[in-house]
Amino acid sequence: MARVALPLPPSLGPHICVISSLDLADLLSSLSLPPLPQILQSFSPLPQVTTRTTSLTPVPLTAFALRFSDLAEIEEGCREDEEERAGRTIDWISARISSRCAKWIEDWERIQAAATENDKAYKSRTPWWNEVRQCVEGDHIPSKFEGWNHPVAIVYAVSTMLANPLQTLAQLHARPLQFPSWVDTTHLRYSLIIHPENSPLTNEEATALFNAVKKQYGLHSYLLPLALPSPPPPPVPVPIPPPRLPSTPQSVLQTPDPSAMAPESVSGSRAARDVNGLRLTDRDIQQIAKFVREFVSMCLVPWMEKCVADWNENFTSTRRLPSRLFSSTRRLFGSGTASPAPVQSAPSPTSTGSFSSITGVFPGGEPPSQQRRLAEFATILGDLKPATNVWEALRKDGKSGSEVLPLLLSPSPAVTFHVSHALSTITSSGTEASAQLRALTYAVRWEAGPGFLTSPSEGDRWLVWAASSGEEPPSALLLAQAAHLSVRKHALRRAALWYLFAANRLEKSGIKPLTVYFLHKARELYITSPEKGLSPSFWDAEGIETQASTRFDGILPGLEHALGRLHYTTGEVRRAVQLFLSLLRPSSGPTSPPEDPSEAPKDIVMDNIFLEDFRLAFQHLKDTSGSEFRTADLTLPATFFNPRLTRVRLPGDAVGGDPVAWQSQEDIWTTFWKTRGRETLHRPGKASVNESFWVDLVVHNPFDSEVNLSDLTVVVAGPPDSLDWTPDLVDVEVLDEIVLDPRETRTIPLSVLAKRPITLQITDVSYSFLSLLPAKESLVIRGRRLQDTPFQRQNKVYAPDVVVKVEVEDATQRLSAQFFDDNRLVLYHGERKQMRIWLSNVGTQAIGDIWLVGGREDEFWVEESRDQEAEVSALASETFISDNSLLPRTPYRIPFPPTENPSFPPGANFEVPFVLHANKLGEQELCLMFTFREGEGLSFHCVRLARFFEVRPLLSATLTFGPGQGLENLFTSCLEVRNISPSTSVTVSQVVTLSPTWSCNPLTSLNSESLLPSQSSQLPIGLNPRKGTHDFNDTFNFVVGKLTHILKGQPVDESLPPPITILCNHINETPSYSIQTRSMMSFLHQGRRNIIIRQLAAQHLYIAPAIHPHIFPLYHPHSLDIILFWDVPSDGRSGHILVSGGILGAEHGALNAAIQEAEEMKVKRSMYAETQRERSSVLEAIRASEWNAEMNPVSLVTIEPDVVRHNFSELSCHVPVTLMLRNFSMTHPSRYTLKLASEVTPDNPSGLKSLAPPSWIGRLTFRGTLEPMQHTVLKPTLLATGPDMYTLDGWQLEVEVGQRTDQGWQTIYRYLEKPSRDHRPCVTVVAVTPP
Amino acid sequence: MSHHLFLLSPSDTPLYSLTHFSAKPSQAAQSPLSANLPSWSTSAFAGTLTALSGASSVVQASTQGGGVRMGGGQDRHVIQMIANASLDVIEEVVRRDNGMYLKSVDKFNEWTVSAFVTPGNMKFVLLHEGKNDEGIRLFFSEVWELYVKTTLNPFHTAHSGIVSGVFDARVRASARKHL
Repeated sequence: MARVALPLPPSLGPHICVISSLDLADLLSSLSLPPLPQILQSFSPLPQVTTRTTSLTPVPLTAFALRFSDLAEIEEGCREDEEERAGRTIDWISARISSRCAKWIEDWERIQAAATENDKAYKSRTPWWNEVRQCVEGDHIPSKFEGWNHPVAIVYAVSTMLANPLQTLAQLHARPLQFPSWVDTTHLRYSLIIHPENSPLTNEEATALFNAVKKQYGLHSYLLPLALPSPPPPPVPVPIPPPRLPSTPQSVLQTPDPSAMAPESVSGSRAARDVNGLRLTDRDIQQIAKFVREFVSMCLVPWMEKCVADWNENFTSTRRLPSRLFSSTRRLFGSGTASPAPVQSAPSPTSTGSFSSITGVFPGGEPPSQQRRLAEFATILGDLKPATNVWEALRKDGKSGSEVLPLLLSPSPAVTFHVSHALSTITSSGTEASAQLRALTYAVRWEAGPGFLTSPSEGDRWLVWAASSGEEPPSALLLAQAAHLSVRKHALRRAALWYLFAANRLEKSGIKPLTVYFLHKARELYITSPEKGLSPSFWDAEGIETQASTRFDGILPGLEHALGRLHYTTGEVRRAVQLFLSLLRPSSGPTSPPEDPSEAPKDIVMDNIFLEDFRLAFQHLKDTSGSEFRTADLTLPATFFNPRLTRVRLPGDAVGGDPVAWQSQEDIWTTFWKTRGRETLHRPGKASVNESFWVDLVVHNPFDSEVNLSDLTVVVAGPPDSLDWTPDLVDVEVLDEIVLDPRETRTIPLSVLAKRPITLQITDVSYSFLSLLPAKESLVIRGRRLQDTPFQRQNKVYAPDVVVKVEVEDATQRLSAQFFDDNRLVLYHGERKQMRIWLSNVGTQAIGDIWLVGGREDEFWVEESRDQEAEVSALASETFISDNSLLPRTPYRIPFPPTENPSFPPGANFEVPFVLHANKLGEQELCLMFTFREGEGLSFHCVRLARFFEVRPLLSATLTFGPGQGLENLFTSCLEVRNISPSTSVTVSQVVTLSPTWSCNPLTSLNSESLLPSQSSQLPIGLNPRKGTHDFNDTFNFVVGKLTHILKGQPVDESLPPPITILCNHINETPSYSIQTRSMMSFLHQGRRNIIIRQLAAQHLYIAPAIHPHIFPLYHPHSLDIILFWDVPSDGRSGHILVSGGILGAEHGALNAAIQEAEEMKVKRSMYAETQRERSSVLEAIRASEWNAEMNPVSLVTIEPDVVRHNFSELSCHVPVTLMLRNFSMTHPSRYTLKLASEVTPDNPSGLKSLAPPSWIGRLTFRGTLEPMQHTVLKPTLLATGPDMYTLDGWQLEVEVGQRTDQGWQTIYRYLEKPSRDHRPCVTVVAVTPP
Repeated sequence: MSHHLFLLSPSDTPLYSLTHFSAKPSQAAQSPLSANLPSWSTSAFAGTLTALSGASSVVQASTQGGGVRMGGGQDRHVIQMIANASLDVIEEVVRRDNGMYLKSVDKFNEWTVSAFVTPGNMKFVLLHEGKNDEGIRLFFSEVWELYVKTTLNPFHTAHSGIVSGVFDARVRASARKHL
């Protein structure tokens, strides 16, 4: 285990006390020489000393440290209370550090800066640690706890300057040692005679004296002849003696220690060494060196070897089994007395005192035990094997020893255990100050020991443990040294922690320069991220920079805040302001939501403190620095404004409206105008000269504290290449102050007014943070990331930065559009509201033409002249031709009022009458866009107009249909109108039916009275085909052709459906409205179009709405719509609602062939299942559409006869029954076969009284052919056997729809129809008795 | 008795932190190294930092009946520094140890640092005062499971902090259960 020849710390060298005679002291001081111990100390350590172990093996020691001291000083020191002394030592060290640290830091930083490259600075000791170390190692007062400082030898020194040196020497020898009882009295006594050249004694006399001394005091004597010329020669530099604690508190003030006497640059050790010197000649130096070597090698070392040998013999004998047993028994049974070890009378001739008896308890006022002295001597002599054994034994006996073992043992975990044990025993044996000092001493020794840092047991931690919780500077410096060592071991993060702890402790002692330095170190080490063994792909995968990873959020603010406060208190206000400013980073908030209330306010508290400190320091800086005050290097790390949300708001933007609606209107216009010209539409978004626009800034307070920003404004720049731009061209609003609540987000508008047409760039926002610090934030945002080329995709390339730009133009072309009244509009469903739009030319140029663009579903009409409105048709029916197209309405050109000027001059204005039809319920917004231009060939400008209105329900109308029950009407229909408004009574003033095919006639007259709320009225209507021949084949062919194209996947051409004639039947006799006014026609068209467009969009999901007009017509030839005109006389409102009734008449699957063909078509494989699904979905939608309707066209109507009265006493009753067969098909003839059969067991699921089954007689089978729309009446006979109710069913109708071809009849469809269970017509036969 | 949990990414970015005050009685750490260290103070100062960093705070806590010390407040950075400093040792231990749970890997005065290093090199660092190896192991296992579930989120990256309320609530529940 033991290592070979390790250099011990100098503080563990043998301690030699020197007592000089007065004459010698006078002689030395007269020659400007220090006292003798100090002269001798200059020769320590002694190089190349060889000692011998107990086994007589020579141990070469490269350096043998010696410590010489004045005996009187040591005696005095021993008398002082140890605790008091320890306290004084700590204060003394603290004071030394405090007074010098500023200089040290300067020097150290210089050294470090010079040595950064080769990292040497880390390898040298820091000056403050050197100071602590030297102070601790310089301690030479014997301690009660250890024997290192107990004197090993006492040198009695006399000079031959006096007449009788022998007597003086005798007096010295006779002087009793004034040590307390606990100081070891085992020491070597040595006599030294200094013989100067100018001595009254001759050399011979001196030799005779020496011989006499040898005779009297033994061989441990020496005659030292010295030249000692006067005046003394120039000083020879020698190492500075270690600093020593001044003996008493008084002397601290009066006579500082020798090292403190040196000039201020004590810290710069090299400079100090030059100053400290011995004024001795070379020969004298050689003489003294010879003496010291002789003293050590001839006397001290042999004497110590002898002691070690003897004591080791004792030790080994006591460690033999019986005595070990005995000693452990003694330990067990608590005997406090020492074991009666055989006291060896050391045959040292000069040692007058015997060896002290071996005491079991060392600190109890008795000298150190022999074992301990043995261990110490063996350690000093480098005889490590017995030394280690004895230390181990001591440790096991619970008497220290652990503190030395770390120096002797090779690194192992056990060493750490020894360290912690050594430190923990201190607590039990010492009071606070002395314990702290002892821990410090141990730490210093360990640190000085060899291989301290390389130990795997982490020597830096030993220093931290030694520092424990002591709050004095030495403890702090222990931590700092631990940090320093950690840095050398590349444990930077731990080093940062130790530096922080050190700084925190030093701060309490008020040593600010070092505190600041340590905090800086902690910050610097924390910021330095350690090398990570991570793959570069790790960073690539996350797309972030290697160094961009975030760290602990609390550490830097904590360190920087402490630093800032320290700088502030030390007067470095600018630095403090910079640090406080750097603290004002946006707080990211707690990583996890705080659950504990004590956690929550931390950020608030911190932000408040940071802000307050910044405010204070900045104000102070501003006040004190006067005219030199500059803020160029102070930039606020937090940002308040979000450039991405910055918007420019122009006066015209306040119109409102849905941006999607505006966009759609612009699209309508673009599409419309594309066919007419190439003039473009200037989008709105330009400001006008001398008209304010606003920059909306979104400000967010990132702090958890209230802040105020003053002098808030935006920085406006002209175009980059503009030469005549001056800031005077623009007036920008400046806000005096805004106060933001914690974490508040607010939008702040700033008005800007330009005086000339120019393109402005809003580049920055400037403000004064807390009304103190001017700050500027850029409103420029980075352009999008480019992905176009491989280079751009593989690297990060961005488009140019985006700046908020505003174009300011002259207001030449400007139109103002406003509604006449701005009241809130509440309309009833279907109401036609007369409105007026006021158009005025507010620009400086005339306007050539104005167009109105409305929304796709808006129903409105611009009245050109009112005369047409009055025209009312007196006819019962009207017809008009519809283009039957679903194309949307095109923009409408607003005619100017008829004046001599064909254009619209500046300043002129006129009103546009405008009728709005409220076709949708709920909150609506009418968005109108007016486009205008000066004249042909010029581009268009636009102005927007929007208006909110609410539409409330008024009437609900439902239309039901059925086949006509009589011969008069082919179909009957019932219109049910219900007033669903809460309180308004309404009059249905007119009902008009619209159909290309059907002509309608009212079955009853229209109720002209008003409908009260929740009241309903019904109007039955009969329908018949319109008179005259109307062939809609072209329409059908159009649709079938287009849909066939779709089914085949062929493109659809842009042809439109053929026009169609619509018949309008007025249901009431005195119509008050005509259909054929242009406004009404337009409303009808728009209304019908909206309905059909919505239906188609829902039905044909996969056919693009844009091509619907090229596939489907507006009116199905068989459709029927009803328009309901209403009036609310009380409010003077009127309106109409369009009820889309449906399609009447039978059809025969016009698309079946095409569908079948499409299905049978060779399936084109698509790699996407979705395409396949879409295709089949298109097919299904077409199959289910009304254009492919298919049904049984022939229906059987039983005309119920009246009650039959019959006298059954005579004959059985034969009831003739009328059955009507009607072919509803408009295109195809049908063959029918009606079979009548008497039912035997009619079931009666309803549980009512069962009706009697019919029994048909006579002709039971009827056959025939019905042409389209033809009907026939059959009259079978029913046999009633008695009075009863006979159902008129039991028939079965077979229908064959077909067509006549050249080959004859070709059946297309067959149908079989049976009586319905729901509707069972019956005949009642009543028996009468003949009168 | 308080616990401080930090979840650190492989690049040592703190993704999540939690301060948990345990209601369970504090169990003094039976460490030959730190608990038996001398606790002296010749100074009249007894600042917060001493309470934090020195062993004397153990005495203080016991005299105050184990009241809540060290929560958020100004000394949050010291706790974070300790967690940060412990990474040096954790990295060293990870190099020679294969286990995921590194119990009591380091000690800073009264703070014991336990760590859990996932196969993905995520480090969970827990600062605690008492000795509760099994509880901490279970706690770490649960946090690991919760963390793995969090990483299943395709929008989660190794650098994005965990802000999920569910994660937080579950970690807290686990802390209440085991710590």
